[in-house]
Amino acid sequence: MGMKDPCRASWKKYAPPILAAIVILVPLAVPSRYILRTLVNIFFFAALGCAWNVIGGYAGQLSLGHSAFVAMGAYPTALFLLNWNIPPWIGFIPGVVLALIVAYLLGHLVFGLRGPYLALSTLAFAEILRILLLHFREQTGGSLGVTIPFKGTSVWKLQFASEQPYYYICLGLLGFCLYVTNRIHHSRMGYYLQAIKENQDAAENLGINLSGNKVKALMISAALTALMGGFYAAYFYYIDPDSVAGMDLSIKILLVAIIGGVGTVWGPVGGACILVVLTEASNYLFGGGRAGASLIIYAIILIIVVLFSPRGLIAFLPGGARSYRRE
Amino acid sequence: MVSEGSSDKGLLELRKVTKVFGGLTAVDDVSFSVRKSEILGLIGPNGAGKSTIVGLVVGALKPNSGDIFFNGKTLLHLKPHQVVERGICRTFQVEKPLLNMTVTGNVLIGALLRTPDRAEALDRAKGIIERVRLAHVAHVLAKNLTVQDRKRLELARALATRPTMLLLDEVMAGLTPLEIDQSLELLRELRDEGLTILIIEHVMRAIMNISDRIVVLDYGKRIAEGSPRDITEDPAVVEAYLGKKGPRNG
Repeated sequence: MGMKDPCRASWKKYAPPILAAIVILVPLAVPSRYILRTLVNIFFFAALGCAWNVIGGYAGQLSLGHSAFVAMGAYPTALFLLNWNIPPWIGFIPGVVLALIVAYLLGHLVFGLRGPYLALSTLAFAEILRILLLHFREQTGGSLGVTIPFKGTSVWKLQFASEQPYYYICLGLLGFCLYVTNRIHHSRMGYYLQAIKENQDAAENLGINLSGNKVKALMISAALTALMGGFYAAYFYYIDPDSVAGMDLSIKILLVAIIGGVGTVWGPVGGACILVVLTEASNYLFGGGRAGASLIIYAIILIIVVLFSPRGLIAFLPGGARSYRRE
Repeated sequence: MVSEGSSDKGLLELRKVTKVFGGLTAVDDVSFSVRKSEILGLIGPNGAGKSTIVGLVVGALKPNSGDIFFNGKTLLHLKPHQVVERGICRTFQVEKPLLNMTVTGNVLIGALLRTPDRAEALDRAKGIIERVRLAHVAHVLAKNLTVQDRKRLELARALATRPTMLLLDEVMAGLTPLEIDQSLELLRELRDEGLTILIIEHVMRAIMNISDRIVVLDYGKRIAEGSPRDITEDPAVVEAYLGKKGPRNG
């Protein structure tokens, strides 16, 4: 409903194909492995932010335990590959199925709770999973984690010496997550999740099945998260309970969505760009000795966003406010 | 005065419904029914149990005993959203708009209950917004509405779910006399189109004017039932409102 600005109109028309072309061509033009890895990181966290956004952003049900679903995708993928030579593109499937089942059960268990209780129970859930992964050492490697040996480039096993294939795989996964959130955004379910976020009593009184919609949203979110967990295992060749089931990861996932813009399709992409680039910058500036500096930077950005643009930084972009649906 | 049970089986029927909160019996063995396409007024002093009855009918509260039937089927085991699907929709005494959505968005979500198609739902939403006189604020966020417009929005949203029965909990509080007349006219139109309405209202002029029948509650008990004229002449009702020796409350 903004003014019809011809400049903005043409920007809107030409920007998406130009950006898409740049993103697709980057690996061919950029030789730097470091830059490509950073971009893969951005795609990875953007995809996780998108997945979190379905339940945390659209439905407004704060989950502090999403790393649990990353672990559910990562561990089966890694263990199937290590123990039975099952390639990651098959190995991720049991993880996603597991995440769906767990999300279904967890959803029915916790969605009777509201506000801080829900957040705390998801946090506890991820912690329990992390401790279980540490405890069952025989199967999971405990705190040593699981290391996947690199045995030369193999398309079958998704192992590549170069960075480019991972770039395109991760870009594709991000594209899939964006596609799913975009579908939800424009569907009846998207409206229903938004109504639930605004006022649960009012939503219920409009015939909206509260627990049904919340559980469905959590299942979608968990499945996408587990899918990215599978990619994590295949990409990093190493997982351990702290890195894939820890609270740090859970927090980082939700920061991506909150900083970028909760309840928007593209917000997490912006949030991931900011977070990943700042993390890299702080690691460069402060060095490995003060690696924790990036955490301070997260905290500062979060405070700034919450104080000055609680709906996320996407609201600052030209036309960004329209990313939020209000009608 | 009060007949036991209701012989006339209506669209909505409460049968010996009791609801206890802690030590307080908010609704005490109440039976009455609402006939199809009538406007039934539910009145009584503050704390008489009117809103509790609305909560019981829509499934937000569960009665300690008794049963509630709609179209001959019990509503007791249904969740609130299933009651809405059956065709009963309420409005809230304290309005509960979806604050960060526009008026259109609020009504659209109600309309989506009956069709997954956004364009169709939007069409219906627009029609209803016209009807309740909210067109001038259709694109305003609900959080920026006046209290009167929020009341209208409650009604609009409920209508959007295409109910066969509406439960209106004080939708006229705070309206000017002119606005009350407009609301009454709308409710009469809706009734003539076949909608059944149960209305709770403190604006006596409004409720006496519009109700086909009235049920009076006091301390959770049904103390009278009849036409508006009968009710005003009923000694039990006069006592409940005014007390035996002079006014009990304003």
